[in-house]
Amino acid sequence: MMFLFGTAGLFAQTTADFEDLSVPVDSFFNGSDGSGGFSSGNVFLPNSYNSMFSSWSGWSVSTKGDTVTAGLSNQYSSVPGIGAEGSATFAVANMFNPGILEITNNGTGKQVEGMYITNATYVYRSLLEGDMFAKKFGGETGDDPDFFLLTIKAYKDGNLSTDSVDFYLADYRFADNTQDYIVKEWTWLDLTGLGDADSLVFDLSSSDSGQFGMNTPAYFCMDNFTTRNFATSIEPAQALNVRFYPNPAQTQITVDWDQFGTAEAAILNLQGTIVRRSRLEQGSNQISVADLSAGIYLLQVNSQEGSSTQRFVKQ
Amino acid sequence: MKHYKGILARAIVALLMCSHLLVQAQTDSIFALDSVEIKAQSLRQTKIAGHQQSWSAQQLQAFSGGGLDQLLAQQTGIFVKTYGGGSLATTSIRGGSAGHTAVIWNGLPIQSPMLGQLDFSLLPVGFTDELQVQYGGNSAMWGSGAIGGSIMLNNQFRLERASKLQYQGSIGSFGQQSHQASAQWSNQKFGVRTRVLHHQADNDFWYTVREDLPQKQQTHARLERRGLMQELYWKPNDRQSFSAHFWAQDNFREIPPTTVSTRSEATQADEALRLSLNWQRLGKNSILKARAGLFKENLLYLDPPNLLESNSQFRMLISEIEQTNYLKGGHQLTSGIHYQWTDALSGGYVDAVQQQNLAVFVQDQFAIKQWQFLASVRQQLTDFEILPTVWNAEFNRSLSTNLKLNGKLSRNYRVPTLNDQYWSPGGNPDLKAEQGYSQELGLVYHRLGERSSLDLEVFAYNRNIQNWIMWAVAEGENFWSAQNIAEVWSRGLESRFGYTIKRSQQVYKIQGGYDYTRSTNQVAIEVPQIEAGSQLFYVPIHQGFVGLYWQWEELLLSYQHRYTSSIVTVNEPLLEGYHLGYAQLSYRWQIGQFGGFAHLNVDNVFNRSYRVIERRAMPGRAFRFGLSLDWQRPHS
Repeated sequence: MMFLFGTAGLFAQTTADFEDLSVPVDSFFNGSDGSGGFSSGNVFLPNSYNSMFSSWSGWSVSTKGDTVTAGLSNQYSSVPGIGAEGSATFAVANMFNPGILEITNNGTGKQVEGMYITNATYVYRSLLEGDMFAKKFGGETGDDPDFFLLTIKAYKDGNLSTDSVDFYLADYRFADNTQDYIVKEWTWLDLTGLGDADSLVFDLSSSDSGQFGMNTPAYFCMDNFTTRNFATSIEPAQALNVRFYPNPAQTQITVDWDQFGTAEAAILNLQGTIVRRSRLEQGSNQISVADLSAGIYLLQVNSQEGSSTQRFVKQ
Repeated sequence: MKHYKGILARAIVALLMCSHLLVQAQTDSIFALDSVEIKAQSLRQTKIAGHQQSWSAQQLQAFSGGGLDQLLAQQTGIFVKTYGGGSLATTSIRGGSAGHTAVIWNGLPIQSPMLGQLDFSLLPVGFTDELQVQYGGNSAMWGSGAIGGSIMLNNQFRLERASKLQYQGSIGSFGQQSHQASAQWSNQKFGVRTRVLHHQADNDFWYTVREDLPQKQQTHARLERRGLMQELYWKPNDRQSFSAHFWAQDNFREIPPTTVSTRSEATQADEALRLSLNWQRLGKNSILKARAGLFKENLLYLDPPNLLESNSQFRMLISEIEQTNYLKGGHQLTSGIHYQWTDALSGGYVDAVQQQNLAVFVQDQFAIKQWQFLASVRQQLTDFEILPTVWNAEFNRSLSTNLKLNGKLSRNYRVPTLNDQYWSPGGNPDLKAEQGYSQELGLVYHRLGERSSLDLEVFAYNRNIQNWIMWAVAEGENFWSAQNIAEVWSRGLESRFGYTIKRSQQVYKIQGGYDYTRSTNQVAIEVPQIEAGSQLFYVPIHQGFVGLYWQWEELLLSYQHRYTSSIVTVNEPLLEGYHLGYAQLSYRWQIGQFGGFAHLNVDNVFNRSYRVIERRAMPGRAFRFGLSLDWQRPHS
């Protein structure tokens, strides 16, 4: 379903949540009908299906929620068991080679707000326990500095961006092994830093790679892909460089606003609900977070010059 | 005329020897025999050049109960790629792939047509009466796959008026237990033998990850093997003999997790039914052999947590006729025809597939003064498609009483396996056969003194294979597919020495060997990422061994030390090289009609932590005690 809403009351947005594709409960579309992909909101997710081998690559859409079963047979499930923000449907990427997401309709050439992302159950189980082909992260000793990384770049007018957004679907590079993690919740990924885009390129890489390529299953799940829809007369917004501290925070965060004029700051939980609003004046601004429950939040700053969304942890 | 008859009689005896119908108790007339040994092997097994090794039934006894993989790893220059503890074990001979080893049972190939290879851990040594390893390409004789080398497993039987019962058992570390019983009866015309075996192991060994970390225990690695071999031998007259061999075996094994995975619930069950029939007829100046085989195998792989169930099966019917004619001028001309029909079905195939192979071959062996020559040629059609004509030319020349020079040129090939062609996804029905040329030169020195013997052998070889089949990711695809993309250049050196001294009741022996193997892919490949000129995966460059033996009457004490250099693997830059020690103490006795053989083996004497394959644990020090008892009684 396509819907519009205002974030911080400044910009209209379109979110592709894939619910409009009417995937039956506990099922998936993997392109076996030869459709070549899926459209929702302002995105088109290309799919390549090989009917001879019953295999696919690119994107599928799914409502599968098996959080337990390991292995390829469970390739369509997300590890949270549902879509982002409690939805039923989400997209699954299978990209041994880099894959594309096309931005369509009035989002083409505009700025991408971001998307929710998490691991597929197949990947989560493989990273946690290993399988016949891939290693459990940490290796035999638990000390291997493993990582499973998604790198996103943007195409605009046929040019690939030099900037990229990195997201670690699993990160075991910490000296203290207790900090090692595998993403298992839907996590908001801010893509505003990519600037304007006609399409995005997704590239998975893993420390568990050999001559035959990556051993880690090349999957991830995506939902609520959100684009900004500017009027053509409006210049695209720039990604703001907003500095805030401390992170993690306990009682308050300080946001340095070094631009002219004011800006609006909003704190969102991972379900996308705004839990705090604040106006930023030039200089240092304190925002109390003392009453927020512990967890991961997003700090979103919007101004005439652009916007910024960054993640922080409330302890 | 009388003199001429004597020469003829000796010539016929020689023919019988050549045909491997060995006369054990010879009288003036070759047609009055007390006992005759019948071997079901091919007429083509004889070769005059190249490196080869063989083991008699008695030599194989120390490995009874185990798989052939253990023997090959400990006694040959073959690199055995083993997943450890009775798991899958394949071979690399002279830098070849697992599919480049032909495995011949009683003259017929038994590699899986689906995989083009055989799991040597599933071949029980106890069902083999004679083993021979021929290094180097031999496609002209054995057909597809004989590129790196060939391994021959033969059954043989002595027709005599006797009954024999035998039990062989062994017990060892990690829950290993093996029992084999054999009963046979024969007179001079009929022979029947039944062999049954049962082998099991828990393989719950401990292994070291890093010295400062606690050891880990292998889990989910239990295996069980049951087998039956029934043989019938019939020699209705002096010119003909028949034999029938039925080999049934089922194997169950748990597939252990890798060292970087937490658990595994995967299992594999392999069932094999093999029937071979052999007929031999001696002509005046010829030997005719016909054989047929019906093989049926089934493999079931289950991995319940991953909802994986893979079932594959094949049936193979093989028939072959070969004849050797002894012609004027000393020519031994062997010609024959080979037909093979295969039917295979797998969850990985869209439909059942059939394949037919038809091949004709000719071989001539002759001598000119000090030179011996052997030349052979083979032409195969696969599903009516003509494959490359393969040939072999070899020579052997005595340079002095003790020194011989031999050499060989050959063209060899391997047809794509059924999985290469029909697996979905990735199978490619348009694949070409791998093919290439090899050259080999060897020097063999043998000196037998009154109390000592000295053996020195050195072989150098060179081989190029084009259209090497590799599973790779094609551009624009996200799945692996079989492609003729690699070209592999293999070259190396094999050297062996042995020195034996006999003193009174004692024998001292030292043996050693060193193999240098360079096997490089000459073409850069993107996925898998292989640089041009890089060594193939799982082919060690250096292998060496030294063996020390002391025998006092029937007591034998031996120690063998083997070194394998580092190996290029798929995920790690290099797998470390390793040293392994093997010790054995054995004693053989005979008291009247009762015989016995007891042995104690210690494998990995120094308890070294090592890996043959990355992410796969290998056992530390392991003990195995074996006892063989037999009773033999002649009857009227």
